[in-house]
Amino acid sequence: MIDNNDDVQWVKAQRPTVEPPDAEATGWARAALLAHTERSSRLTRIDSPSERPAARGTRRRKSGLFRSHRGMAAAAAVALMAAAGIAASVIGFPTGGSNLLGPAPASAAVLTLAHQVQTAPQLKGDATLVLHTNLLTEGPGSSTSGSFTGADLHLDDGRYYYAQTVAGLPEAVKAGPMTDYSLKAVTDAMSANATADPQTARAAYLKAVNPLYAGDTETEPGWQQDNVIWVSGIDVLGAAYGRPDVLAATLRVLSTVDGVTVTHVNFDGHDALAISMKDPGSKAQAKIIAASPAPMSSSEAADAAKILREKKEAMAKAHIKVQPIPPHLMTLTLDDQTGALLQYTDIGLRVTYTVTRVDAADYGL
Amino acid sequence: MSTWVQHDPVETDAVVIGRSFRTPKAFGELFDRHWDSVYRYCRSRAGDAGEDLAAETFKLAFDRRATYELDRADAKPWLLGLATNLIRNHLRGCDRGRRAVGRLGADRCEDLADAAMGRAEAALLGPALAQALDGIPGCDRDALLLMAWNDLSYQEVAQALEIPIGTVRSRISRARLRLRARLSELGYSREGHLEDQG
Repeated sequence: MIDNNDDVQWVKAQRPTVEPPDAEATGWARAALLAHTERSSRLTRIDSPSERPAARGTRRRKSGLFRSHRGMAAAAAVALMAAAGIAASVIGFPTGGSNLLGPAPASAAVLTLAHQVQTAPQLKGDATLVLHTNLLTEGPGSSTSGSFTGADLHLDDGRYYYAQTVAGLPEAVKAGPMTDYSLKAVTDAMSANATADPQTARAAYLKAVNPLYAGDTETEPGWQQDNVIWVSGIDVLGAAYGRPDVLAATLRVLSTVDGVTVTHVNFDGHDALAISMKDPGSKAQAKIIAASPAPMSSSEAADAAKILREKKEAMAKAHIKVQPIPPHLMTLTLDDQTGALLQYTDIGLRVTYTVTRVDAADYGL
Repeated sequence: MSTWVQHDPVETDAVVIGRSFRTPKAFGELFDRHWDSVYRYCRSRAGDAGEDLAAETFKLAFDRRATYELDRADAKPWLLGLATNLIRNHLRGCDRGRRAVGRLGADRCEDLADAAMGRAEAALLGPALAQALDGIPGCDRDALLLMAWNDLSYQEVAQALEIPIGTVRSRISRARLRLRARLSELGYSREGHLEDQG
């Protein structure tokens, strides 16, 4: 007869034996969490009072998923591993958009836009206001829902202010420019390379963006450099609106990213370019190297890939299924006349932008 | 190079979580403190898939940290509660053949679909435990296993499952009554050994 606490003790004794987590599992999980926090830090929800960012000093929407070599790898892992078996070879269209002309050669389309932007009349104003609404949707690959807004004020001289709403900007201005996430070095570099060829502009971009990522953006493998350009480029494109040379040079840099595809779409009445980040290879080895907290050779990665394959097969045999996660596709939609940001979509995220030129004086500057 | 900010050992989990609102990377300290427990729990309940579920638990915790009650110094029960939900969803997904779980009343443990242990969960628990726990509703099983395998108090189980402590008491009491009856029925002795059936 079982009584007293014996039943609980019996249950305790029946617990399956589990070895402590090994370094690989711990490293992977830690890297994934790190990348997730980095990614989420630029998506900080502000509908919770406790999360309300301060007007100054908050590392809000830091697009830099990859702040260091390791962080870069981890974030790339998230970009890749958020979807097991990702295959983003087919372009997706933004919500509300429709494919008008079908896919176009990516670099040609982006370079055409760059030329157009650079030869367009200079817009008035000395600052750019980027208002964005961020919608987080729960679903496979994403565990958060909610929405928040943000207002970025980028002055042409490089100063940057952030508030949740445009009404909060005067107070943010009083607090002073945010210094922990300045794009000035990048926009300056783009300005200096306004007429440079795309590869020269790319090199200058990577050099300038390096401090933001505290890493090795100049020496990283190409696909990681591409990832940095893609992620940071969204913010730079916002800051560069209305600065033809800077915007054009940034677009030329974007045209060098491998695996990006472009489609002409109609977005909410705008003729637009939907630029999608293609999975850089979808290779298991690349994913594992990216996720590894320590340097790893290709052969080691190949071994690890084999282990993962075997694990997957074993799980399939045991009828254990991992919930499918949709292909990871990130799409940036730009106005195809002005280069203005219109929308960015990622797993579980849709950001819509309203970008305008303004006078800094209107915000007390 | 460490990717985490070094934590002050006197800081409670609540302080770390609070700090993560301003410095998201600080959440890594919570990982360092509780990864081992969460990993073991997830692996115990979900086998190999537990590794991914444990990792997912921390990402989910980060996303939901605004809901954490900062007067709770120890985040382990909360993390284990999040893990339990992920495990339950995972196990449900493994047994799609079972009838769909409909809208339930206040205490989901009355759901009979959860009372019938799924094939995947039974395989993971092992034959003895699966036999002993079969027939105990899923939420009762969750409460019992949280307590037994993680040395959580009733109060901590309540925090983990975000239910009143009275509900925890009734769930665990109900689970233990059934468990004892089942063990006796299966011929287990006080010491937990199978008694001579002869």
